[in-house]
Amino acid sequence: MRGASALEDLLRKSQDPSLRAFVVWEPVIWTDVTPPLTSVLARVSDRRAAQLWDQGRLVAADLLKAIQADMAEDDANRPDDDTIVWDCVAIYPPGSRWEERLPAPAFIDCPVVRAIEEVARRLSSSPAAAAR
Amino acid sequence: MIPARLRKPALLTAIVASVVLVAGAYLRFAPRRVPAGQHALVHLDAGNHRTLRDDFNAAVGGTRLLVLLSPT
Repeated sequence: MRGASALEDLLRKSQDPSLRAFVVWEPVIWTDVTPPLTSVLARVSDRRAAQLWDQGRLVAADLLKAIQADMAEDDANRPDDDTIVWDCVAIYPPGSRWEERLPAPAFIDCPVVRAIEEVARRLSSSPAAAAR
Repeated sequence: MIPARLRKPALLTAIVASVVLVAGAYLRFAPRRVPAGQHALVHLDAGNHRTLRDDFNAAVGGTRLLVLLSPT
């Protein structure tokens, strides 16, 4: 929940009209039995955001594969196949396209509330800098 | 008739069951409205998974954030 509020703060401060945020809500803990209520969805009110309910954690699986494909198999930080990607924020720079598979993000970190400062720093630079 | 010694537990059980039912019904049927200006909440599944990909690619000219969160 704090991650959603942190994202909203970030969007409020960003003036970039081409910025888009895809907010994927997914069940992770036992209380996540239903899609987010209106009060939860209201935490991200920026018009540049799109909100989705991903009951089957399909996007998390896509993102996990993208991260794994981008890392060497013997990398100690490479996530296991059973890792659930959640409370994370990923940056995709302009030009990055989702073809057959979701591409690896230019930046990803978790939890959102902790990562958001670095995301803001990258967004405040040139778009290309977001990739660094 | 419920014996007197069982009335209190039975009443408590009925109250708890009612609360659970009401809460469950609320969670099941409560509205899920996104803020004004956003597209309606998309319920992703294997059949419409492509929707996100299409929207992601439609915004290829800008930076995109992909944020994964738990609703509770």
